[in-house]
Amino acid sequence: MFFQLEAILESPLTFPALECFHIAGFGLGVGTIAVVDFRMLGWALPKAKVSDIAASLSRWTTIGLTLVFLSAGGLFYSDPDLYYLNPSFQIKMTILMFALIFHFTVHQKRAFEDQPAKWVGAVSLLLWASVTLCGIFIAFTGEAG
Amino acid sequence: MMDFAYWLQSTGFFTALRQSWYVYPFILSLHMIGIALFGGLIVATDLRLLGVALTKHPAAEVVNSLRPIKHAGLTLMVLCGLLMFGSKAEEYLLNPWFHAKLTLLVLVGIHALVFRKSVYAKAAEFDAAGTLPGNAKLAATLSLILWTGLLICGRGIGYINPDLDRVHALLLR
Repeated sequence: MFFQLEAILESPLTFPALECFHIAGFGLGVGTIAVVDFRMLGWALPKAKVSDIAASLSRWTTIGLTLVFLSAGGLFYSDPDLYYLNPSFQIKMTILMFALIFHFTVHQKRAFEDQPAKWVGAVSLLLWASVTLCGIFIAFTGEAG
Repeated sequence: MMDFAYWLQSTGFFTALRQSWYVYPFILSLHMIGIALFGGLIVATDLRLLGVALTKHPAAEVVNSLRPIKHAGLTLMVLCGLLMFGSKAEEYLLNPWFHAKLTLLVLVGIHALVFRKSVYAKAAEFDAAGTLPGNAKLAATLSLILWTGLLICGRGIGYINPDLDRVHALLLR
């Protein structure tokens, strides 16, 4: 069992494969959150109730975010110091914390109680975009840069 | 073709873009933000056509209402893609993952031509009939496969660094 795990960890395909899962995961997870955001901004599905959209997409958001966090664990484990000491990574984790808190408090409350607000959609989009931006900059700053 | 690539990346604009440490990553970030904020619109449309999400809402409403935002996102991603290509045109032209990505983009175009009339323009008819025909599900499945493939090829590009010095030497000979 452990021998197989070693083989997987040492394969040159593992890291890029994890990256693909990470990107596909946020495409699905954050992407479905963004659909709700676009509804809050009044750009998408204006006739639909925001609670219906959020309820219908929430399982896909969960699947996507689960993929993101599982792959993130693998990516981080590949070289913990490189990430932990990286300024972009530190900023990313800080904004991610705000993004998650905002998502599970204000965003979900407003969505499921049908009180859409433009500012909620805009803040959510901005937070997730910032997390993505910092994610890319990890590869260009600190030891990795 | 390689001459054009060399000329393009040597223009003042693309040279400046390549030499700055933060401009290329910033454009790449915008490209990724495109996936994060607009990828979900493609997924949501496809899942609706498969009948597994947003089923309370008419398919026509989902398809038509998400389309303009989807197109805005696609424009952003293509623009960023062109900027990244221009800054390292030779490397991209020699990168097999880039070739695969362009092939998939052509297939995305063919997908749109094939299914526009038979699926996307007929979503209201599916709503009236109350069922989603096989070709709607086929269009959605192919769309998900194509975009996943594009994502993998995009990530693959970053793992190939063509040996430009060797290529230049070969070209001169």
